[in-house]
Amino acid sequence: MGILETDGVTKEFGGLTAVDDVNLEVDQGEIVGLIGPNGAGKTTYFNCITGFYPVTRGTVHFEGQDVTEMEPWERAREGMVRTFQQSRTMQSMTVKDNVKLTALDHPGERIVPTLLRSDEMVEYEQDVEERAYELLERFDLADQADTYAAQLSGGQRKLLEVARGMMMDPDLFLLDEPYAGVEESMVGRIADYVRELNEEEDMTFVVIEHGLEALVELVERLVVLHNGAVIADGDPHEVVNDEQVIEVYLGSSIE
Amino acid sequence: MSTETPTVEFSDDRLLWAVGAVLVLLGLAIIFSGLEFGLSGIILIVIEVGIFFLLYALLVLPVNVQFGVSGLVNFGPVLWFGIGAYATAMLASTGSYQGVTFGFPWPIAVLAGVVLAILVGLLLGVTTLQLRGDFLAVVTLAAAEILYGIVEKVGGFGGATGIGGVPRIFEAASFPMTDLAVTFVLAGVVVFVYALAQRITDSPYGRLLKAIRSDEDATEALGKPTFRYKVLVFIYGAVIMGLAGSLLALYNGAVSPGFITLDVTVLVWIGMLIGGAGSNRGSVYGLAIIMGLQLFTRIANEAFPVSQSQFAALRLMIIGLLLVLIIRYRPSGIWGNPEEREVL
Amino acid sequence: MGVIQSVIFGLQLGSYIAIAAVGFTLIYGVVNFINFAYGEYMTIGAFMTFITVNQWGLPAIVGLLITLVVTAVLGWIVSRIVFVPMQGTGAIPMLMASIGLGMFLRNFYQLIAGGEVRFVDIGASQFEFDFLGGFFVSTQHILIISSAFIIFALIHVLLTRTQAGIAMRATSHNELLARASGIRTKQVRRNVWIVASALAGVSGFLIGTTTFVSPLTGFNQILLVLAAAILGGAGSAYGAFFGSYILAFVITFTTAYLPTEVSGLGETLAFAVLIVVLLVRPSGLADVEVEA
Repeated sequence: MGILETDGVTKEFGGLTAVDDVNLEVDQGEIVGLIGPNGAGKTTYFNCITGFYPVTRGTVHFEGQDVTEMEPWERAREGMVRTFQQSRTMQSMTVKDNVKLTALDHPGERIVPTLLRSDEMVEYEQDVEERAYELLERFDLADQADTYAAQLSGGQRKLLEVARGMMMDPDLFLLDEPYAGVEESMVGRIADYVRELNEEEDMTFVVIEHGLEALVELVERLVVLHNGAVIADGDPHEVVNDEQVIEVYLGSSIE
Repeated sequence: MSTETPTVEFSDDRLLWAVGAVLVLLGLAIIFSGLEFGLSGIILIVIEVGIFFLLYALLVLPVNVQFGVSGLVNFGPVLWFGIGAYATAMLASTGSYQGVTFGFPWPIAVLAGVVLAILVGLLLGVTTLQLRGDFLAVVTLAAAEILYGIVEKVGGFGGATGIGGVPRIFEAASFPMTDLAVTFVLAGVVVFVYALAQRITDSPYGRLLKAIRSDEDATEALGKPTFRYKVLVFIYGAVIMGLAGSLLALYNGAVSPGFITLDVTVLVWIGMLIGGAGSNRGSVYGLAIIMGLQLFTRIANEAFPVSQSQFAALRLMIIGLLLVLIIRYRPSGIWGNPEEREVL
Repeated sequence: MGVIQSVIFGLQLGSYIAIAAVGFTLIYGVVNFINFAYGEYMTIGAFMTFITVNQWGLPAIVGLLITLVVTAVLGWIVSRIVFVPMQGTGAIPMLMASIGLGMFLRNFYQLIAGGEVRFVDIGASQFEFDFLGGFFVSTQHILIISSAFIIFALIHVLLTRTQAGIAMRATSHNELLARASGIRTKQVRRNVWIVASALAGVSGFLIGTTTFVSPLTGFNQILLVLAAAILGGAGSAYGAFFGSYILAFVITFTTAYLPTEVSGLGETLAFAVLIVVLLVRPSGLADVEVEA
């Protein structure tokens, strides 16, 4: 079994089927792209994988474990990290605090060490501070450390979301439209970081984009969703030239 | 690659703890020494208003941690204030004109008040904290009104008269001395609670709470059990507010519905908003401004015996106007940080 | 007291709450915030009762119509000064601002009119009946209850047959969509302020005829009005209307039938009902869509 496996995942809202029986297996170290016209159900599918939506039917397995009943925060702790379509950095916190926030198992997040200002807590915070700076430097955000996230550019905020997620040592990174709202110049950089992390840390990525050609260069495998169901899954170049896929994209007036 | 990362430092609050301890000891000293001296009329008025300022400060700090820091709209601080006050009063009172009393030793009564406050905080928290902001405001408000209605209308709770005969543990040589002692003790308690609130706010814990306020879903996606933290913040606040109520009962020797009206909630919220929601210091300062206006009108009233109610009306008009102006032109409050203001 | 009498009291209470609740919920749905100063708009209506009926000696109906116009205008002016410039700042800041405004207005009334309570005499007659347990109906009851039903009918026509009203419902339902369809939401909000203020005034006027007139007349009812609006489903005029009667009957019947020690708890029980509704069905009676 791969690092992520969804079996028959279906999500219905009242009469509407947003995700329709999606079976997907992702192996460790893969970079998989997930595309489809607007409304295809890509983000909804992500919400099902991460637990923000309970599935109507089907199961989600992560690293061999059935996580279908687990809360989103529990899945995140297991190593499943996601970003959001509209980047959701904490606007009223600094860049550095955004990254430090994500540290796991911080004694400072328990009330007693906090009230006592225990040595354990202070030491851990020092480690967190150093780790945060490392990550910020890696993503070239170090000189923005004390800027409030609200003042970053669109692309920088996307990078911040990735840097933040990295604090958790993720095994699987789910990126929801990382290029949306990002300046031209930054798009390439984001793609570079994804490749780098994939090569250096063997990190698995599933990336959503809604443009047909957007992910062709980045991913090794492309999955297409339409009306909640998978209509193509394979080599990116073949998939974007697939007739059915092209029709589906032409059929939706955008793109 | 590495630039020197700054050493992590938490602000040194030893002075605060020392000041708090000194204040409490001063107050206790006045009580136990039997010291007595005269105090002028004006000082007595200042002390009277001051005592309520300090009690309400014990409400504004938890409300600030809940709303200003964590984004939880708690419109019912008087619910826990009232629970602490009435539980302590009824359990410790040796006999009241109206209402049921039990005559237990007062530490037990205080403890019971705290436990009850925690239970109510837990119950309300678990059931309502998933509601969006304005609905949560309505529920907490309704809950506070329910308590008010019950203690005012049901005879067992003393009705409109309230519960009397509560042991007055701060009794000193005379009434003015008692008031003076209580002022010191309460001031010390406020300093302690402020120090605790700062430790929560200015720390990784506070960082987490601010993140919850900023974007709960994103915070959850980062592996934090956000709902749990919200309930815990609710409960911690409940404890402090309940204790404040207990202190009221033990100082005053009596409690009545008049202490837990909507007006108190409004006062606390206006104080927090004017001073700066999110800032512990700002919230207390803002409350001080409001109570300062109250003090001013009371003293001025002594000097000019104009109709008292008209003066009070003018004062409240000013406070209402001040709130509208702050929300419009300086929503982060006088001492708040505009960068840290969330668009709610 | 007979059941019929309780029903009549319930209808009366429900009626003036319903009129206010409809206005309140329109503001909630279209302008998107809880207006805690709404009670003060109602109080203007109550004072108008005193002025028009006691001081000018006009018949109640005439006074009512004058009140309607006066409060519509005054309410609109207040909204222009305080709330329109705040449009878009968010539900919580606007709620806070309304709290400050309410405090300002309440005490302003106190300052200029004094705190004493005034009674208005509209020359009501009473009709007594002996059957069905014995009950009486006064012209006040008739005035209030019929006003509510007439107003409900008018609001219904407004919301379903007029462009302005349909625009209100669309904006309340989904503002972005409404604007995309060409609706001038700024105008819609202005209309809502006018209508809601008028309704507050009418409700206050009717309260003035039955109980008494004081600077706190409206404020005393605000929580009940809020509860009714939320029970009905925030933003739904129909829900607010029926929610008001439900709460009113809860109050009048508990007052009538509970033992005296706890009979004053009617209003408290209404709040308990509110909390339960918010927990079980936050969308209210009318099942209004709730955004998280």
